[in-house]
Amino acid sequence: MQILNAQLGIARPLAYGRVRAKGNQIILTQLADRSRVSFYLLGEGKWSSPERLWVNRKRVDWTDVTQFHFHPGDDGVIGGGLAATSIGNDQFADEFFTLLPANIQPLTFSRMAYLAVHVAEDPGAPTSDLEVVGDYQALEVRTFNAAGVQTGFSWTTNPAWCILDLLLRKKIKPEGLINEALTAAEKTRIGFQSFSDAADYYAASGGGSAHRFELNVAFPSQANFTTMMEQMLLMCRSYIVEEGGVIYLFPDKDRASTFVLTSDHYIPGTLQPDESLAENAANHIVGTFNDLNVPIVASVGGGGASRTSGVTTLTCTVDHPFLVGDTVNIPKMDDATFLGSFEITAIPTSTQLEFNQVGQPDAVSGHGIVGIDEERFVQRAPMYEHLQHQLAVGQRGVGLATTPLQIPLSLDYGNNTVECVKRLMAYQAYRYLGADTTPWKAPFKLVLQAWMESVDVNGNTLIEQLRGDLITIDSSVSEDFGGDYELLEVRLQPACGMADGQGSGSGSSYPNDSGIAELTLLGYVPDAFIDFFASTTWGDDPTATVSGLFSLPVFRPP
Amino acid sequence: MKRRSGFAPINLVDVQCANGDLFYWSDFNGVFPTRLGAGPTAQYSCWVEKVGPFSLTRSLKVDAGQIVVQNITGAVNRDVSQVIIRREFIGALVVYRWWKIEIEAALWEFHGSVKSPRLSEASLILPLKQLLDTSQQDGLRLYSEQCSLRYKGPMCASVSGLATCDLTFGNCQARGVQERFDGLPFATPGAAQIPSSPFPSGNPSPGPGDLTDPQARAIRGRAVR
Repeated sequence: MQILNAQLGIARPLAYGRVRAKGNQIILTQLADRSRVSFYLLGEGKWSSPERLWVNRKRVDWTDVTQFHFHPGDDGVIGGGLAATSIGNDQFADEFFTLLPANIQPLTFSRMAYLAVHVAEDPGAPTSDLEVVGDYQALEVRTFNAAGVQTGFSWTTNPAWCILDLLLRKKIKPEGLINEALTAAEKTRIGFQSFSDAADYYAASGGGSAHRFELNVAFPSQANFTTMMEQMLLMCRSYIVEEGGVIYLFPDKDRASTFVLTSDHYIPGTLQPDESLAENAANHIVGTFNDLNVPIVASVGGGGASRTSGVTTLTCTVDHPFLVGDTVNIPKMDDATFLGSFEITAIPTSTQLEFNQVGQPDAVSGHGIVGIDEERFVQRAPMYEHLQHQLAVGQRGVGLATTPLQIPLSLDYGNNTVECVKRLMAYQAYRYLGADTTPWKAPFKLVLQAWMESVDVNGNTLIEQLRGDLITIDSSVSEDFGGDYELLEVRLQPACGMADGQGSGSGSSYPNDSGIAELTLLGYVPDAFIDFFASTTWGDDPTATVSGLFSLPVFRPP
Repeated sequence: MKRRSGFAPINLVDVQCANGDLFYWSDFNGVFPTRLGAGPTAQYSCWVEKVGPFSLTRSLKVDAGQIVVQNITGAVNRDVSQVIIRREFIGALVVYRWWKIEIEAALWEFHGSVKSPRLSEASLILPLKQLLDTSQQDGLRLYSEQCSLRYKGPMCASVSGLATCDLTFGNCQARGVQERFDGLPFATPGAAQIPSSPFPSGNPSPGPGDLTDPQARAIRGRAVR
């Protein structure tokens, strides 16, 4: 049997961070001994490596080069030839091509991460198809310091460097080779200070999680650049601004005002406050994502983990469902030496399980979780409710109490953790609706005009303020609407010396709107950026801070 | 301090067409430092009639602006008409500067490209969009039986003396870069073509992230609940 079923005309996937991938099966051949050879194109390179691999739903050792060859998707080496000799970790033609019929041309699949598989007949396979699924660390990307000096090229889940990679691939260096150095001119397009600062912000602890935001996302089907970039920015609460030909990345975070706008700068009579952004904003947000964490199958209480002579025994709080031969994952235990993936060797009682940790010292620990890797990437959909807004828009009639009216919004957070998703959903609601407190007040949107050449008391110029910056409206502009506002949009109308048709240069008579900046501002809500989980701790109830499959209450921040 | 004092800033416009032609326009005759071209300075023709408005947002909505150039000067033919008739301005690179003469520096810059110029008897309008226009481009390359790389481009890197390539594997081999060939030339005669969807329903997961079908999650050997 020989099957060639490469799917042509479909997109070459682009993936960052951790992904579970099957790939585009381009070759499937059954040999005389009934073993099968198959090739899977995974995505645009260069990927880092597999983490786990399953064949016919059975976990396998992906490092076994007699069966599996992973090629990361580097640029093909010119002059390297097409001799089918590679056993993986490079971009030469794979050795398994030699097992295929002669009419199949060996190729390097330049720049495509791919997996070549040669596996024996599997009578126990659940279906007649060969099914290969893997968990992978996807694209490796460039990292830089604030001065624009490249500091590395490696796999990372830091959103700053993944976003920069997408910009480089699609806009700044679309024909660049893998990890090709940027030219000086290319570097001037990037605000490295902002990317470096953003990377630090994402990498900092967000409370209960190791990092505030990580980016694990794949684009397997065609999407335009805007969609892809919006998805990535959504997953790290960030925005991009281009100013003067330089692209900046900013996390939306608690920040200080950078301009004080007073009556000296303001053009009287132009202030227009409204609550239009809050009026139709979503108050019932469902965040779908594939959970990166290992769901909890069983919990281990205090003192429930012991290791003697390299054999570990876990005692769960209730009966567990595992069988001998299952591979369990221990993502959390007081003593970190108990963490990892292990194959169960014995089930002493219905609450106990044993596995080997040869070479590890004797120890006793507890407060842990037992899960299985297969259940990673399970779909989750926690929701966030902004109750005060729901009540405010839920009028039913005279004499009738208001009932919450849900205005729904479904957002996709890719591969993520429940903690990050909750943080992102709360931001999404708070930004336009304000904190969900009593009494509730939505942030105002202001539109006003000011002189483009305005300079504030601190020497800051209005024209230098970027979208996203905070502007303080002084009480001299409005007693009622003074405060901090985020700059959403700017409409600039520079004066022009020839605007009167005389071509007389500067100082001539300008139209009325010359030299004016019209600003669209949104009331600043610092609560939108709270790391809600800072105070929670691990305990016997592991669902407090991990992705508990069975415990996902409606989230409402304190 | 209300505003900067002194003369109002002037407007400098540098334009570079796809063919490399450069134009320097202003609303104030003079020699100023350039942003495009070899420079360091150039004579700026006093042709700019109006600039803006520039609309700038925090979102990925494309920032946009507009430059209006007079189309009046000229002896027999109008200068600007001649300029735009003889070369292509669509996609031309534009750097606009709001320039303060006293300090010889730009107070603000906009870098963009021309969308589609509009010419009238009196003026030329150049609508601008920011360089980071994300709306126009598909994000992902596609699988094809032919190579998707530009012949002799950096990713192809062929140094063959042959002028063209038809992007087939045979041509690629003849040009010495078969290791970089990125097509899938597997549609061999007699081979069974089995239609299947490698990524079920296009985007396989409820969202980006999971590149497998839902059934694949039910891995054999997992624990029974």
